[in-house]
Amino acid sequence: MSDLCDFRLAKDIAASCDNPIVSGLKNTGYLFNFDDIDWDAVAKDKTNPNVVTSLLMQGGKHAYKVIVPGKTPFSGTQAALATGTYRNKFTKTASIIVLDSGPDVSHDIIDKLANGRFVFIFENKYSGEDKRNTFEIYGLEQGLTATEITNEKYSEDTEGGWSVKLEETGAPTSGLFFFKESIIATRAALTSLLTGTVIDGG
Amino acid sequence: MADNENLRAIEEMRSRYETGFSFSDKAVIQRLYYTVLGKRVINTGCSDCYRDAFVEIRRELLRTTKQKSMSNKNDYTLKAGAIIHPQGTNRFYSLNTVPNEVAEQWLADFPNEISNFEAFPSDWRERVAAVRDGHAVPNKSDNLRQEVERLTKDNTDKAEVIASLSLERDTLRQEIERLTKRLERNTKKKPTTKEPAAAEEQTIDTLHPTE
Repeated sequence: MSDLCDFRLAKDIAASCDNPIVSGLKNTGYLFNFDDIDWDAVAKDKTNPNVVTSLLMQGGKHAYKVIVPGKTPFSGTQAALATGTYRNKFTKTASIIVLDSGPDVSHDIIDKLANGRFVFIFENKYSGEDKRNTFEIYGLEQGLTATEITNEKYSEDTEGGWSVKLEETGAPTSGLFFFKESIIATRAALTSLLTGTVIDGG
Repeated sequence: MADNENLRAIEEMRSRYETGFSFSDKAVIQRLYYTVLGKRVINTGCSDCYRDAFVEIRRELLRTTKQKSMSNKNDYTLKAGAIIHPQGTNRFYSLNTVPNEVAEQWLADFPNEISNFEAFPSDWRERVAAVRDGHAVPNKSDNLRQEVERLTKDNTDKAEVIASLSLERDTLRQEIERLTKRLERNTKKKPTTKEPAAAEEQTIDTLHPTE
């Protein structure tokens, strides 16, 4: 471990001609309560610490699926540089549309999103040549918190549903990606995260 | 989990089987009768309809929970998000799908990954050491599980017999009451004639030859 961080460029900047980048996200994301994650078990790739290889839940907890239909789901989701006095960091914004409304939505989703801290995994359309770009994580460093929640009754976009913006400020890395040994293993892990363990007698 | 909760709800109202179910009990029975058995309590006017439904629901829940507990024979449960992918195979194991031998072989290769398990047997070190050394150790958990399964089955069978006999007893008791009332009514109507009363007694004797 070095006392001095190495910020020297380490790769050519070029676009892939064989596998050109594609903008946008797929329709399904995964939302985690920040405190439900087993933080002791979070592990990163030794050669590239921007790849998270292990993400586990605490006993009895599970992740929640977020499905946003349409051609441009999670539109507004982005990472942007935030300059600091001594070191620059990143602000990451996850934009979620809840196409539903009512007491259960308010109680179980919106009230929780308004005050909780979260981690969000979304699926990029562009998975990269080795598929490691497929699943990207926001909120793993500082946690995502709500900065904007609106329920515009006459909105043509949300159709009277909710628009939620979750933001992570002060994230030291520009991008964190969830990838186990293969994309199949990564998807299996996500399925397991959604299911969660069932404690007998619990 | 749902079956366990339903069974808990049913067991909770078991003490009121004899004395009669409350209004809320009947609502729970109606709901479970539909969700567990897919049937509706048609005649809600009689108390026995709910008792019959109660017995049916309980029997079904005991059967399904027993099947589930017997099918879950894995001692190891992975934490949500953890995956075991044995080298050279296309199998991925997660949560409680990992068989004992796979988990123990995995832990023999990567003992530090025990932290990825939510639940594991207390003698896992012995088991894993045995796998590493190539010999088997007596599986205490298997013996205990078999004993628990045997006792659970025994208990379930007895509970089913008790429920069935209770139901039969109640039915017979009601039949006796009905016939007694009929006998009394007939006796009042024709106090001097003996033949009809004798006929009634004969009917009762035919229905309950031992009484």
